[in-house]
Amino acid sequence: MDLLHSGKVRDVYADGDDLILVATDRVSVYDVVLPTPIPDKGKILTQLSLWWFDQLTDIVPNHLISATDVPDEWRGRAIRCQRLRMVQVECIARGYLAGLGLREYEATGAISGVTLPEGLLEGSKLPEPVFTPTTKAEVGTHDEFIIFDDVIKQEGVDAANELRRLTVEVYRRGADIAAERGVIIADTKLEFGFDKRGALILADEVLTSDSSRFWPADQWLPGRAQFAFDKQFVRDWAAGTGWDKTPPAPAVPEEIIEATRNRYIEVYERITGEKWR
Amino acid sequence: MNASQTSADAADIIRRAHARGEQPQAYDPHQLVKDVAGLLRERGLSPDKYGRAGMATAAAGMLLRAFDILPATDYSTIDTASDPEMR
Repeated sequence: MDLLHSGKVRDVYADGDDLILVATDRVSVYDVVLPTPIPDKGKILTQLSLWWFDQLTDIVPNHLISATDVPDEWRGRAIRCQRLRMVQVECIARGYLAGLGLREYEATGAISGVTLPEGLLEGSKLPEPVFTPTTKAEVGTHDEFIIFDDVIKQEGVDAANELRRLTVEVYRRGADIAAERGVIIADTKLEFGFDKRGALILADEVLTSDSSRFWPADQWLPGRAQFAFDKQFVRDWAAGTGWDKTPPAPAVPEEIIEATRNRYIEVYERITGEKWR
Repeated sequence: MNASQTSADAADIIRRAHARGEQPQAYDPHQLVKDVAGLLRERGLSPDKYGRAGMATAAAGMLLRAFDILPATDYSTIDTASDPEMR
């Protein structure tokens, strides 16, 4: 099996015509991979992603071929999936104002050309979820907002409209389900690819904390930075060390690893309603 | 000639290739931007280092689609996105 790509937290292998996507236990904070893995993180996020795929099948087909037909050493953390032609647009849906979206709104009153109401604060809920596409940055650089018209030019009007519709629908479904379980999904990033017939397929992981902002609903308060559900322990710890957020990151203490692992499990259990084994 | 034969929409490029019994050609629009910037530098010009965000890759996507080439990459490019806190 050939290793095609090793990303910050996931590895991609080729197995004949299929791909094997392996979620590792690596964790990144401020875009830097920490030297200490979080045990079971890859398995938890893979199982959460599989659960979401089941909730979304009526909206969009996905790339999954099998969650069990994978090498034994990666069982639980790997999936066998289709090889797709990947769209070169980061498809982001935002339901709340945070991160670079907040910065863009404060500077221009809009995100990706979508004008938003005046007076919104950090963490504010948006009137409607919005599609805020970005370029796909190279490693070491950051994605930049693009307007929908640029997506039309790049992909064609039909594909662009479909990317926007699917991104917002997936976000709405995810946010509604999570809200019933006390979790706010503030935003999410989706990856799409074309299959051999030219249909858009949902790829990669979906609605996990590596691709989305999860906030506990009972602690949500617009006007300040929100408490991020699972990485907050490790993020707070990293900030407290005086680390300058450039590689290499310092080793993570055992108690922070354990607390972070427990939060990943809590998110999984709250959203799926299933006990992590 | 029907609409799908004339359309340069990304999905139509795939359908046309398969109708011909071929695999669709694909090329990364970001790479095309870099290629063109390199060509322009060779010609003595000084293109902006990154191109205007979106505008350059949008134009690259249009050009590729005009040539019936899909503006896309293979699957191995996933997991290059920044963390949610950086987004």
